[in-house]
Amino acid sequence: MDKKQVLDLWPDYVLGQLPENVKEAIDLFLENNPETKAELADWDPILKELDSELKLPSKNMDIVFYENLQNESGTQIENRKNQPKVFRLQPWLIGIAASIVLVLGFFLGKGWNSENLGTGDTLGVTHEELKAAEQETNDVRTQLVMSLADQPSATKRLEALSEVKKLDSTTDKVIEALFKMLNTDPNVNVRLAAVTSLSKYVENPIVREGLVMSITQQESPLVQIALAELMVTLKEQKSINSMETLLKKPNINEAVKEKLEESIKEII
Amino acid sequence: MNTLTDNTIMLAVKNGEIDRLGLLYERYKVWVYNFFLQSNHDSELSEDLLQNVFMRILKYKHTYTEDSKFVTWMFQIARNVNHDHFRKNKKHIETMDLDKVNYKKEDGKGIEAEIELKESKNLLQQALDRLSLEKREVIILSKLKELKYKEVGAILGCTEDTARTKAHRALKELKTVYLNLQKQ
Repeated sequence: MDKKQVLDLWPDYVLGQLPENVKEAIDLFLENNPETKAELADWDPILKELDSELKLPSKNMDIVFYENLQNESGTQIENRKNQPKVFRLQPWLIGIAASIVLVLGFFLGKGWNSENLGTGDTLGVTHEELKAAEQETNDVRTQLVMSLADQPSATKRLEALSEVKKLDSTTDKVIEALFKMLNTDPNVNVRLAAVTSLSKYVENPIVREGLVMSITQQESPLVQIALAELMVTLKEQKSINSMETLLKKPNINEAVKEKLEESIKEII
Repeated sequence: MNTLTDNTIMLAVKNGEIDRLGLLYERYKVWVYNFFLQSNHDSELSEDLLQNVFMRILKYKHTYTEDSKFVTWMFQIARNVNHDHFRKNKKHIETMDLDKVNYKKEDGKGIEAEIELKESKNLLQQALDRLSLEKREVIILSKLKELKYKEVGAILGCTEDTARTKAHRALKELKTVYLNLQKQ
């Protein structure tokens, strides 16, 4: 590389448009040619400023976006409902459907099994790609749940709980957020909805244990009753101790007392 | 990472799976946000403009074709949003500038305020502000990671070579303005 080439390529260098090897060649040239480096020195502050890190938008922007998306999604469902319920297929759709039937027929005829389909790129999208996309959707939704769960508005926290229902799989972080809502949320509706959301994960022993422990922490009769009902459904023996502890509390609500006694009997 | 391409996702959005737009939003929100932020230096406004871009993507999803490249198409929309905002607010910005002049004359503290503003505001931002919107955009787009002149050209509606020439000219002007500001 010579000086003329370096000067010709310099704007592309500043704008980050060069391949790594060309960029390195220019860096090397400048190191060995201090006079050219000095000639280009007045670019230094511009280069530095233009190379600064990208800034991150606020969390609120995500909330607004997903709210808008949810609204749009709702509008679309409404529009579909209002359409006359006549089954219409566009010609191109018939074509695609026919192709899918043909391709599937071909594979079935050949005796292909699901493992073969998993490794091949037969329909343009591989099994791994689909799985990765599903995982990505799940990650995005988890992120949304976490943002909404932290909001000061109870409506937003309820939205977080409704998003949890759409998750295919959950993470420890989400479970932790759900327990935080169940045990510390000032709004009783949020705490009740958290019971419902957590009831989806009762196969997880940590969730079961957390629910049992939560019984004694609850002050609201509604949440106490909801938890007692869940324990009966699960036939959870470990909850008996917690319910008995709750029964010993002096200011216990009469309806709750009856419910707990009834629940203990049912579990035993 | 083995994920679906932008194109596949956008075609799914076009076919009614609009929830999928969240994936594209997560992939590109930082880019689009910075495209606006570097142009107007207002974080709140940039977030609003970004929302506009994604809402327009939904509104005009039927115009997206299999041959489109999502990033290019998205930035074309972002440019339109930017230009619309600039046009709508041009009058307002001019009025604001006049207000500033009046303020200076009335209380005599204008010069001090101006010095403070100069110190706090990044010199490069000031230099970028003095370029035309198109020149500013060509620099910001060319500088965005992974956008090459070919894509920049597609966004601006010109060839790769023209995009390169435009970017070089804009950069040259930026440097002149920057050095002038430095001397002041």
